Amino acid sequence: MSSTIDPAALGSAAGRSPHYVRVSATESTKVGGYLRDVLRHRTLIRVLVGRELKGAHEFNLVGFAWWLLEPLSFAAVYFTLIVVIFGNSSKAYLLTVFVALLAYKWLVKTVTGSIGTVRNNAGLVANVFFPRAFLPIAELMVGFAHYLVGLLIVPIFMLYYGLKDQWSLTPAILWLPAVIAVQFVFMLGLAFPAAAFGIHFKNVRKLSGNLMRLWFYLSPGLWALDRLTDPTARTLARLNPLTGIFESYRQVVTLGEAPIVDLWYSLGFGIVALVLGGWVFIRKERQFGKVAI
Amino acid sequence: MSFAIRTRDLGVRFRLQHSGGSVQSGIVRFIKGRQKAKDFWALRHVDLEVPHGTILGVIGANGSGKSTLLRVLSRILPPDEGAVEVDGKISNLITLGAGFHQNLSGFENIFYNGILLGLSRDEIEAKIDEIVEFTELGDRIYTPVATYSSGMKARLGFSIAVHVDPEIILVDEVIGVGDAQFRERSTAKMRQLFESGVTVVMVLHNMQTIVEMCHQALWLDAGHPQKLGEPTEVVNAYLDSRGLPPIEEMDEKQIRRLERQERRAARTQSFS
Repeated sequence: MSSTIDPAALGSAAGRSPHYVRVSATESTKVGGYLRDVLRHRTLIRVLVGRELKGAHEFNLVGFAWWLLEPLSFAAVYFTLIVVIFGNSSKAYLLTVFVALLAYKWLVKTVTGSIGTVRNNAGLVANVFFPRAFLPIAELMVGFAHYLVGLLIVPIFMLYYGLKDQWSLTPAILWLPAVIAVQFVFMLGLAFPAAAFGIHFKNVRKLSGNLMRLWFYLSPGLWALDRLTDPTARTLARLNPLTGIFESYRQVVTLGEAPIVDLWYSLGFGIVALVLGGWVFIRKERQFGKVAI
Repeated sequence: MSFAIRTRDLGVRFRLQHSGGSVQSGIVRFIKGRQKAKDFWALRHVDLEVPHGTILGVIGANGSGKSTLLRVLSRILPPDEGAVEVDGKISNLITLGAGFHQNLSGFENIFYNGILLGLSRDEIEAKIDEIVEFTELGDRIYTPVATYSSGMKARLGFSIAVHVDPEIILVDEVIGVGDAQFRERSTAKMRQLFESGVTVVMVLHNMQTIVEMCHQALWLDAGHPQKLGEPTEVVNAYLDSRGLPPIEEMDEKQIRRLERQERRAARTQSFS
């Protein structure tokens, strides 16, 4: 064995290539170094997202129509359920529900996708180095792409309800990107811990799917917050960080008003989750390669 | 002396409980009481210094930590003890085509895999013709990878990996990919790369190749470096430990048989 290594000389020699890296058992979780790796490999995010989308969709007109079919069929289900069966005719109801459902689908895709992402990409994780944070981020981005395509259908509902005098275009719609941005940050905060803890669980897909659905029904997506007259129930509902997001979508898209103040709470919650979740993730991702093998 | 790879007291530990099972088995484990996690050091106390341009061959029985060493050097696994320094751009031929997407064509996968291996889009575009030609896949390059035979996938993976312009190559027994003709071309390509002054760490099962191609050899035993130095000496020490005669006294048949044995052992291990 080469016993001539001077420990002090490690990490101090000059004239190194730009690719030089030093990884040690004690220091490799430094955030600065991690961010440097993220920057160095950033094109990979596009690759991971593009791979997912391209593998699932044909990029031509038929493929695009096919892509729209999913949210449309989704809308048909809820139209049948809400308007035909339950006869709900509150103002521009289907428009509200559709926007909420799109946001919810994005949420489900991101969280359940993140839970399984390390396992589903075991081949990559076991054989190629890259910042593992890209995996949940890619899940989020793929869901986001679907979400944006789904938004393309929204004007159809607007037109329909506009003609029925139940909806009118207001400047409040300009708030929409802000609400989407808050949801983005919030879900990034969920995606990291979901991916980090997801490696321990092999078969929770259905369970997590149902829990997500429960969470959605407890959030004001299909119902409006002002339907809760009981003050305790209302307070409880507002503790739910999704309340600000869903209620703001309703305000902005259907009612033509500014987002509710709870959106700040959602944002704060998301940032805290992102910082904590990201920290946990960076610490745990060191072991991902071992799980994947 | 400038080095391409240096490790100090390197250790990698597997905690057997890490392999997370189902929720049910986790609950059962929890109810039965916390079992003490079993530690297993796949590598320990590895001090290594590989100068630029050196070809280092790694030998050892299966389970001795050879593949783990390559995985730590390529940063797939972090060290649990000690440190690793790598000075140069790495191409990792540990598993060919690890990032292939089955629904996409071979051509598209060249882009995806190339970026995964650290190339930029422009670099890949500049080399795409060369890579496609090297695969010898013809028009099949435009069909989904899912329709490829394993040999075709290996050819595609190999062609991408050797066109990355690496400064350091980590090889895990991939020289024998594809049919006889492709194997010949891939070996020639590897030799050409080796002669261009890159640093190579390779796990090989053919002792003769180690002696012929490598500048240095490392013998790992149960995760511990047993001997490092001149290839013939290291190989002979290893053979001696297995009760075999030194390499000079073995004929080609014996060497082949040993290689087959080791390969088979490695394969069984990777399936378990």
